[in-house]
Amino acid sequence: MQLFWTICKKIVQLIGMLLLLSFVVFYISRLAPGDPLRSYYGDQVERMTTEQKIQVKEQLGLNQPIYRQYQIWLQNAIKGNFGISFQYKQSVSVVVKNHWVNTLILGLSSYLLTFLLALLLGVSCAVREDSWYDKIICNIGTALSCIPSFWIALILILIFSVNLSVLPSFGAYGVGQSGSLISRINHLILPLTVLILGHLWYYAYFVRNLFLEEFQQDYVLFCRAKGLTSHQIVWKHCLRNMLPSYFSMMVISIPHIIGGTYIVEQVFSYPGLGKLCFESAKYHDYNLLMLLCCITGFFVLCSSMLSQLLSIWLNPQTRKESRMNAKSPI
Amino acid sequence: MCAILDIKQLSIEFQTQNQVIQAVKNLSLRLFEGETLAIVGESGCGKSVLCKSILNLLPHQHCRCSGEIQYQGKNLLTLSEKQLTQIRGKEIAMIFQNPASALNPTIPVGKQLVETIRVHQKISPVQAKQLVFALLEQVGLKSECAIQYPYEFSGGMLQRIAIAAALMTNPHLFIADEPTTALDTVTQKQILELIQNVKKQHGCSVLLISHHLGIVSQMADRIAVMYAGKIVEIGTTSEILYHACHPYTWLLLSCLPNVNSSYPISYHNDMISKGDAFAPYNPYALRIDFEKEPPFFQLSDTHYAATWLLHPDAPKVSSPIISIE
Repeated sequence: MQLFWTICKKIVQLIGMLLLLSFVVFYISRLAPGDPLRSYYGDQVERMTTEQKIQVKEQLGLNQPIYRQYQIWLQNAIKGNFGISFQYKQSVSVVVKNHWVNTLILGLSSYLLTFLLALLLGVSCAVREDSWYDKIICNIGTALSCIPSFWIALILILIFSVNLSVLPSFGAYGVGQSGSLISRINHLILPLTVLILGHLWYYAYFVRNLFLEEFQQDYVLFCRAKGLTSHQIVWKHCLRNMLPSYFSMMVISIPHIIGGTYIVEQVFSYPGLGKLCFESAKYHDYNLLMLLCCITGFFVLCSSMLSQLLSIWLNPQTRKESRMNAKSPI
Repeated sequence: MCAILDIKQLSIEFQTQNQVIQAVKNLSLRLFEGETLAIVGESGCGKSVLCKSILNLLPHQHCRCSGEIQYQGKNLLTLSEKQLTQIRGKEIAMIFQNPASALNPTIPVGKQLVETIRVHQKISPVQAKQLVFALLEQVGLKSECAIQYPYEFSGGMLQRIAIAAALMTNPHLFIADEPTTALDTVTQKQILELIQNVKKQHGCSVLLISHHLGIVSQMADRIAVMYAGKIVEIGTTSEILYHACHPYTWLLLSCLPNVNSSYPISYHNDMISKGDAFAPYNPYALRIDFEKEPPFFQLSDTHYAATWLLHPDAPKVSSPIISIE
């Protein structure tokens, strides 16, 4: 019951935050310098007269005060109508629908692989604390995490696409290979590698430190005194105790990974939401930008909410208390 | 009597960033089969380090051990981690001073006990569960406790569970590292009685660590007094209680509430001792105490003390312990 009310409270907070986010993004995008008509009409806009421009702005609702434009956008958005994309000349929902799967595949696979590898790398360093292995991995990891992702991406493109010509450097599929799984995997290798390399050590170091903290606990000493092997202690005891922190970290990191995915999509011209986001901001495609910001914001806020709920749920003490409160007749 | 544990010239050093700390210095000790040996001394004198070194539980990266710890013909210091896991918990069991943190907080206690037994014995989970229920009842807890988490128990109950975990495999040697420190006086008594009962039932040897001479005197066959990483006096319980010869043992005894003593507590902070570490605190210290470490002087077959006061040429000093009630 306690958990139910917490979820309800969080949903109300989420709606409030989304409204605030949409308002801020709407205002900032309108105040940014640039001409949205260029996005709609391209180079034609230079041949348009002032009267024509005023007429088109009226048609697109861009001549009204910003608060009024926001009001109209919000009313339509609640009904599920997010407007049309100035650049693609079709409903923004359709544009997003055509691109979201690519982002999901890249983002989700990099997310899962990063955290799985971070766990293995962090544990392997923690159990060999201060050894050569630990020192070498720590130094390489720190160096890698200092290099910007886009630079790693450019180096990898230079090596594997330009010099060796073994991996493609742009797109989601090869020309004429749309739907081919092998082509899809081939096109994912470089963006995935960049995303994993960019984030891996950050999380692996977190895991390493969590495990080192756990190793100092008295129960670990007692486990050793009982005759458990290091392997059993690490995977059956320490992992279990650090999982709430790790899951929280995983959930909180969703925005981090989404941000990374967007940048990598741009570098590799990968047709996903990230690339759309950059283009919509660049060409003042307001409606598309608003929907993409709302989607991204929704995931970010949801991840923060989920991390809080997860930490409540994973703690046996709070879980048991909430169960007992639910059963209590008072 | 046959020695189950024979510690020879054990030295333990900890490497810190700036210095090397010698926690245990050339310590030799024997524990005989079926006996209870208590090690007493102040906090930081190396009791717990000694205990952990027996099971090789000290951190290898920062710690260096030399000497021998012979257990049934095997030097525990030279065994591999794999060989040690066969001994830990199965032949030598250990409990620690803080029961609240000794058990994993996220696993029900029953599961932790089942795990302990199944590490050493090839039995089914159902059989293990039955053994756990029986053992919980043996240590005075209900079998329903098995499904509860550690945070749901008091300190005394947790220590009982820790004792149950340690006894699951009928160990030959039971090491209790300050098992009553974190407990109230009533629970302290119950836990000590439980350890005594366990010893009777299982017939194991007990190495009991404490900083309280009064507590261990009730159940120990022999007592070793430790100071600054060395054993300064060892003897049977009555020898230590009624015929103590080392000034540090006198100090420990004079701190007991039911002891009438004339021990003059003092500290010569202007003197630096190269010899006996206790010399600056010792009101009976001789000049040689500050210069040279005292050897062990034998007082009886079982009683030894390391103090220059026992040297034939030393001035005769009578014990300040007037009476023990």
